[in-house]
Amino acid sequence: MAKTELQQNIEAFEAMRETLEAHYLHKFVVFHDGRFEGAFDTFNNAAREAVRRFGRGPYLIRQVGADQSIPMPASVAFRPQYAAR
Amino acid sequence: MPLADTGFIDQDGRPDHALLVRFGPSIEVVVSTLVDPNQPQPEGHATHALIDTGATQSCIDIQLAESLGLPIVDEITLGGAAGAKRHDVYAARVTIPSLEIAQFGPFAGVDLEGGEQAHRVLLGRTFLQGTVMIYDGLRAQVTIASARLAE
Repeated sequence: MAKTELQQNIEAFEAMRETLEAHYLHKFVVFHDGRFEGAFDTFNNAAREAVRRFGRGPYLIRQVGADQSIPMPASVAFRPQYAAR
Repeated sequence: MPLADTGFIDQDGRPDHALLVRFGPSIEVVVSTLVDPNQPQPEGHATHALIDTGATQSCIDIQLAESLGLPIVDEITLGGAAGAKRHDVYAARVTIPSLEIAQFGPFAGVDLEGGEQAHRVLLGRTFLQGTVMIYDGLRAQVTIASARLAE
């Protein structure tokens, strides 16, 4: 299942995190089948290469050094019914 | 430089401030799944996206993402008043015809429809690199210009 393979790729990323941060900080990296496949300047370039080589995946595309925990956009957290209160 | 005016005017051609306040800066986008750029591209789904300068991460309605068959390429934790929750990150090809932009981008899957949001796509700051936006509340207009980033 794609989700399990995504987890495998995330675990591979975490195992290489120090090396990635040393050499590819802020780059977008691609992992497929638990292997590092390349680093790219933009998500657009990473996705283009990933889809060219691996089709629809599964693969991980993640920016090295980016926060993996961010605030929910206020526009998503807001509910229209709040305005009526 | 491609330029789009995306504000609101009423039937008499006057600025409709109420609609701009209600819906925010919106622009028509076409969302589709990942296909090799050298292959014929799928038609995609046309919808209006909220240009959300307050958001770091672009978001997409989960049901729309699933219906388009977007691949999950990562996970992210979004924190809010109700606590933090993991969300799938989908990769999508987003085309903005008026700005001649076509690029792949990451979108956190959230329940926009269930949250009664007017939009099914939110474009966060990561997607807005390379654009200039002028929010003119007096004219109820939003003007967006883009350096051409098309494929």
